[in-house]
Amino acid sequence: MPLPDSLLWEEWETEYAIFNRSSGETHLINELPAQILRFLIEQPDHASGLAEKLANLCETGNNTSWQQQTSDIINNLASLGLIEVKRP
Amino acid sequence: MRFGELDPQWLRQQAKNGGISFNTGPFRIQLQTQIMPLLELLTQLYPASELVNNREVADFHIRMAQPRNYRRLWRPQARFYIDGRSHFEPYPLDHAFPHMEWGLNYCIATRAHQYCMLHSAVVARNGRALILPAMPGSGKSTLCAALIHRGWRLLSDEFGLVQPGKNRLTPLPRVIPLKNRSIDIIREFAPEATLGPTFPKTRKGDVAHLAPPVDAILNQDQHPEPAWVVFPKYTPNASSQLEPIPKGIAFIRLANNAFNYRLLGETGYKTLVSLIKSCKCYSFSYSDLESATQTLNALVSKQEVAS
Amino acid sequence: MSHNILLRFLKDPTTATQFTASEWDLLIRLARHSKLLSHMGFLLAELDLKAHCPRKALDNMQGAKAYSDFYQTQANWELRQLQNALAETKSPILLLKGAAYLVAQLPPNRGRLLSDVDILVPHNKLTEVEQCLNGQGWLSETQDEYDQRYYRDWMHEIPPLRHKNRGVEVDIHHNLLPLAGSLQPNAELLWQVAQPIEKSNFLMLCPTDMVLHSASHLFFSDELRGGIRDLVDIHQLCQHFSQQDSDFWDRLTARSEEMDLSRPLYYALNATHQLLETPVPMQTLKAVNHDAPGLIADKIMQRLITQVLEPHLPDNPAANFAQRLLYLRSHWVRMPLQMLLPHLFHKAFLSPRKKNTTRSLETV
Repeated sequence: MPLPDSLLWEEWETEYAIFNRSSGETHLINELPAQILRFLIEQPDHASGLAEKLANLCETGNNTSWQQQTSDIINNLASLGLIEVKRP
Repeated sequence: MRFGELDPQWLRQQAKNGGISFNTGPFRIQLQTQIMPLLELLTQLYPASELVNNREVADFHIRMAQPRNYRRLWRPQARFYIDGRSHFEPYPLDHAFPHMEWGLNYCIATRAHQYCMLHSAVVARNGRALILPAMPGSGKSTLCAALIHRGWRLLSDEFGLVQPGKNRLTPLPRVIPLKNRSIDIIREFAPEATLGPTFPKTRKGDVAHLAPPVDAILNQDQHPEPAWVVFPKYTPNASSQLEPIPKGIAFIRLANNAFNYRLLGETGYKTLVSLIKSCKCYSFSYSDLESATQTLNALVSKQEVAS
Repeated sequence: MSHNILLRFLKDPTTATQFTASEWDLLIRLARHSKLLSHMGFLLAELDLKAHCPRKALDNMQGAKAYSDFYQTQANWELRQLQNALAETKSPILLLKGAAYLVAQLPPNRGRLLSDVDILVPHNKLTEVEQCLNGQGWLSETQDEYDQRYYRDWMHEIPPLRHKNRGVEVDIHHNLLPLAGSLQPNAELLWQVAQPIEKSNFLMLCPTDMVLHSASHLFFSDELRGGIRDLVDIHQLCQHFSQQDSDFWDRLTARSEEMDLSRPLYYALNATHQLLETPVPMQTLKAVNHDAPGLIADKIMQRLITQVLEPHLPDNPAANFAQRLLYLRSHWVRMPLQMLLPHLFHKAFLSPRKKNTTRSLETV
């Protein structure tokens, strides 16, 4: 899941205003999706890998519902055009 | 020469023939018209505006004219032309002035993308600007009219013009259209204010135009820094209440409120990020204008104490 | 031949340093109306002439640039989405006109306003491509049965698509000119020599075909209102390609005969040579002159063309009249006569809204 190399970030108190240079759109997102974007900037990853990293960071169990939640966020980020999902 | 000092007869001839040019904020208008009551009201409400050379580059070439059709015999109309093209339906002739003001606002909003254009009133004090974004039910024009009669300088009632990369507000001091009940409220609140005639039954109800104060026109090249973004909300019977809001929220609300935020892309984003960073952001509910202006005046003294 | 200030500027932007304030005033207005205001800013910047421009002129060019930048970002994003969406069809995608100039960064792209993106796909892939896009949120604008039939029976493209979440119109072509027209280039020939665009997976027409397409679009379609802007495209493409390839002009005339497009090339080269002083070699002009129409028709056409293409302000009645005549003519070259009358009738009386589809792009 490579990420467009074109995001501008601004961190406010509890939100992030993100501008996507490629689409020209601005998005306000909160901490969890922001963290997923940070992971992806470091390196492209699969949904399962992201769920695990995120669970470690939040010190929570990486169970099915957590994975479902992560995958929902990923789908949302993809529909906003912030990430691109490569299907096998 | 300023409008107030010119021979009206001469001005009429000019407006009819080659047209007259004048500056409004950073924009130069060239106006051609034979509709004399329109010209009279223009000079009455903008006495301090300066007539400038016709042979310079103008931003907007406007003609206000009566369309040639049979209708003019029984119901005369005025039509707004820009560069010879008309984008709007004509108005009744005696509403030519509001039609021109409205048309000009439309032209600015659709063309002047060298600015990030907030849909906001802006006033300033001690070189610091207070931005009042227009939201439905905000009562921004009434509040703006009140503030400029309690020590604030008018930058604009309709456009917060931010020059990208500068984080300064460019004044665009023009008439403030007051609607319905606000007309009498401001007459009472500021008896010294100059108001034009009331135009009954426009699309927005009864409208009367408050003239921009002379000092607003004389200082239209002073560009203050943004200091406060206040989202006003007129709430009947409420006492004045100023609540800080998170900057992320203020950012998105301001971006949604701007005329051309999306169009400006990265420039718009960077402009509003620096603007919000340098501002304190509040939501503001109010009903009584006297108490509202006092609350907002207190922002300035707070700032002074802090610095 | 002309004192038109915009033509003077386009022929030689360095003359701008000598313009008076009132000439600048007119120039800005003409350029805005011709959709060249942002482009003008690019030409001045490249020659490092901005310091010589009046402040107000710079402001207006800056405003226009913000506008064209926005549309270019949108078009780029749309192309990216199209590419992802069409990956599974394995169809080659060839970008036409503005989209090709944008991705290949060709000279006409500077400051260009793109309201839509035009792509060409092989005829045998058309249905698959259309269905694939329909399945991923690109929908047809028009449900009107007449419009749908008109496109499919007589045109070289399918009815325009637009993604349900976005604003950019996508026009999918399978040929350069309408099926019903008197000129019918062979699309097979286009594909044989199509060129890849660097750093992308798209193709574009080869240089000669790109010029021929631009010429036939300007002179043989109903979008004559593209006017001087479209002629500037041809002017700049010719300049650009002839600098890269010394045989360009000979290739161009040869190709125009092969593609059955010598008539539009004749009009285009004459107009751009006359109005913009494009350095078309004498022998090329002579070669295309063989394809001139009859003497009287030629005189009339030349006159109309100059009247329409010469930049004017919107309230110029002579240019508007000439444009209307050319509009009629463009339908006559495009369709057999028995088709023409019902179509114009329909266009004039049944689908008035069609005229306004590009309105969203217009500023005042």
